[in-house]
Amino acid sequence: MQFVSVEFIVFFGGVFLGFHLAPLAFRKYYLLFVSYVFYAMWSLPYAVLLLAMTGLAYLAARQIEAASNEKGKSRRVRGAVLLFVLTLCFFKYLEPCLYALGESIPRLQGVFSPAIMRIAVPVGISYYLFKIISYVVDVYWEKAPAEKDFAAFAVYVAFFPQILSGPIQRAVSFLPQIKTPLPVSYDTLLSGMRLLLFGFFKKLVIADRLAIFVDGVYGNPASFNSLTLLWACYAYVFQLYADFSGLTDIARGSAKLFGIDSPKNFDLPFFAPNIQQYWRRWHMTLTQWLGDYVFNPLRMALRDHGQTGLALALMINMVLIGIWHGARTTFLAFGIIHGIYLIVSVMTSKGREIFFKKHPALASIRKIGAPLGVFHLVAFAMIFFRAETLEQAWAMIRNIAVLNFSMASSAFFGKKDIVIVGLGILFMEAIHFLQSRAKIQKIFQGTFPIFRWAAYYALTGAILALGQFSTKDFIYFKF
Amino acid sequence: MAPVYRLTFRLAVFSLPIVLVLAFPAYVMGRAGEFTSTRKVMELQEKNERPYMICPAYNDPWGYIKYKSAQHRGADILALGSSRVMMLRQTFFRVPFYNGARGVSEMKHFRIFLEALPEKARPKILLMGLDPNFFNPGWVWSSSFPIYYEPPRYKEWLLVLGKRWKDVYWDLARGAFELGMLRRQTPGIERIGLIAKAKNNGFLNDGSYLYQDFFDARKTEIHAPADESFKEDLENVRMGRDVYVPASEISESSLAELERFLAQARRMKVHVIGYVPPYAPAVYKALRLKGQDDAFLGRLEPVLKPLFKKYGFSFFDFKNPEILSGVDEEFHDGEHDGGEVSARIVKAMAQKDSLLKKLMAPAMPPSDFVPGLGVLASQETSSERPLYG
Repeated sequence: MQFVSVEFIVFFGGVFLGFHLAPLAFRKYYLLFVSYVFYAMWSLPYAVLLLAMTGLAYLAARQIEAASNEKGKSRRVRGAVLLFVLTLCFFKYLEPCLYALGESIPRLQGVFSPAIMRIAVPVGISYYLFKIISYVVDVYWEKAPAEKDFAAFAVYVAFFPQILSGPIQRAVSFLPQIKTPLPVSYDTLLSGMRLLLFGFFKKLVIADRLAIFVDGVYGNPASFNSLTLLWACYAYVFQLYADFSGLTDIARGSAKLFGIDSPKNFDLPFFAPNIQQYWRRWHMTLTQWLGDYVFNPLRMALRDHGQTGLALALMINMVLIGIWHGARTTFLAFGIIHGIYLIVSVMTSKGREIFFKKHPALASIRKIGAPLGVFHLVAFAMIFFRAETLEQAWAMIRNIAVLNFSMASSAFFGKKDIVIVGLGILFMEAIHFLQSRAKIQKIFQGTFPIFRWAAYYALTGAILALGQFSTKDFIYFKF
Repeated sequence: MAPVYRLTFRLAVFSLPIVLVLAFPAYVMGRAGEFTSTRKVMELQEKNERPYMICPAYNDPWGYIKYKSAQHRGADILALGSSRVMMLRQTFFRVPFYNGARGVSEMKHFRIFLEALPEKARPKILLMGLDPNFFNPGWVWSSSFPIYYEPPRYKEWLLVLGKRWKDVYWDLARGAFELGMLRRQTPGIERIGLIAKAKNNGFLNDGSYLYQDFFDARKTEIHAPADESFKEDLENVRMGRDVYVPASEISESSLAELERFLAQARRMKVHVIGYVPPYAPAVYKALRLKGQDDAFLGRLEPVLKPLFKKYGFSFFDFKNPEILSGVDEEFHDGEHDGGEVSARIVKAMAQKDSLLKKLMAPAMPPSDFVPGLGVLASQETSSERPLYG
């Protein structure tokens, strides 16, 4: 069931009313039930897998806490994490790896069992296993107690607004909200509705309109002139941003309607003055997760190796971010490119600071130039992220570089689309800016109801009149 | 009031004007038959029990319909190509025929379409309409959906309403249709879709398209001068846009794709007759003046004909309507004839292709002849303004 679908709206409406009619004490069981119904609609066997993973994590955390010595705790946490990582690898990476192996070594074709080659990736497995791993490790690090309330923990893992594509919320922030539920205030409900509306706007008006252009050009890069290809690269950056941040808004808005506050995933990433900042503002819950559970431990382990250790830790971290999206060489290339960006940026940061201190006149240029530079670096790496194969990515880059203007320009995107998308992006970033400064709530509360309603009607009207009502999936659903 | 009731009440009040705004287009679409599901359209036309003329203005499922119907029907002669071949009719042949026009929008679709046909449904003859733009490296087919996109089973109508509700207001405001036309019925033929109701144009049961408004206009009015009839095409030729993007070379990838298709057809024992459909004389003249005939169009036949011959198939170049004695008055627009020229195309091909000759009808009825009904009576159409369909 996709978030942007009639089915979801009907399902969500019913679940929402049922939740608020239920007594406070019963609500977590209700959410657990509907979350599993939601997940089972994708696949019943994988709902059983979800339950099994949840049960194992619950027991593992209790065992870790109960262990009498450090050695026992360490052995248990390693075993649990290994199990979850292997489960993730089995479902997400085994089939593509075997396929690639069969492609490169023809003798191996047909050797692997067809049953293995047909294994589908369980929806949201990357998200819920990351939640589970963080919980188990947090218990080991004694950042969180092992949860005794299984129902609350199971809701944390399976919570339906978050299970498909995050945000990857930590147990310490989620569990208190579900264990001691408070009546949901009208303002909270309203702010949830606003997030939903804004999420739908970003998805339907901006992302899906851009998708027509981007899909058309990426589907046939040899047919277009350099300028069109270049535009498609930029367009994809905004498509992905609007799509994923729209999806996050819908997830956060839906959660709010059940009284759950979820972390945000984006904070004006295209205003980042350097690539480190960019990664602190883009898919924040994933980068924070990898920072806490991969980069920091790695950095500690490699601290004796100085700058080389730092570079290695950065590269491993970014490669993991890349392949977290899937077992594709393009995602690996995406991770490596960002690894190189980060290493160069970190290694040269002191030098750059000294340079700009010596040349204060350049400071204002830096203010504008740095985010622009970061944006272009990101856009370049995104070519690999979007392309299906490395060959396709190279074809895009090569055809842009040769400056060929004799091929077709885009027939997918008219002036009207450019205006709609351009204004849409400006509006989206203006709202993001206000959200980042926590002003949006104040602005809404300070205005007359008539203006608030006019704004809601304008946004709803824009969605209905300018939205692309196709059945296009969110990009991050498949990760 | 509890927050949730307060929110629900306010949401209901908020939604009321939106529901009202959507209700009118929903009524118009429902009444015109725009919500008829793609599966239902296929079922109605495949049953072939009575004549249907179907053409929605706000939904375009024809790629999928032609693709699937060709698989179900298994006609002896299959016409395949863009809208430019859609005037080939069952009445031209004495064996079962299906027009798969609009089932192809670029070169690679031919092969996909053919490969999907089950063995029993493979035609004896495939009439392949080759639009010159298929071989133009500067032209790309653009669509927000894959051509054989399967519409969702239960909520197709909702997607149509969601996507196109505003166009109903716009079309009504500019007089593209009148509400009275929604109630109109024609004895003997069922019209489904706003274009079929308001313009009297649509796909018939054999998959061919009837521009009845064109025939009606010819019966009642003096035909408009060529410059007026083909205004849009002539402007596109002048600007070098849409299918008239100037070209000076033939796309290598399209030729390779064509060769793959021909090889596949031979393997499947399907006889292919390829042809370049004619332009309206005024449009062809404009293309010649622009130098496109020498630079691109004229270079197609010397390349394509040997390729077809290599596989034992026939090829015809009808780009120049004079070959078929075509005149502007026989063309609905710059690229589509009304049907008479298409009849002459088939006759001309049959003269050179013995297999096709054997399957031709002994006599051809008029081009606006609907099997099982005859020539349709003239209808009052809305206006010259086209609907979005």
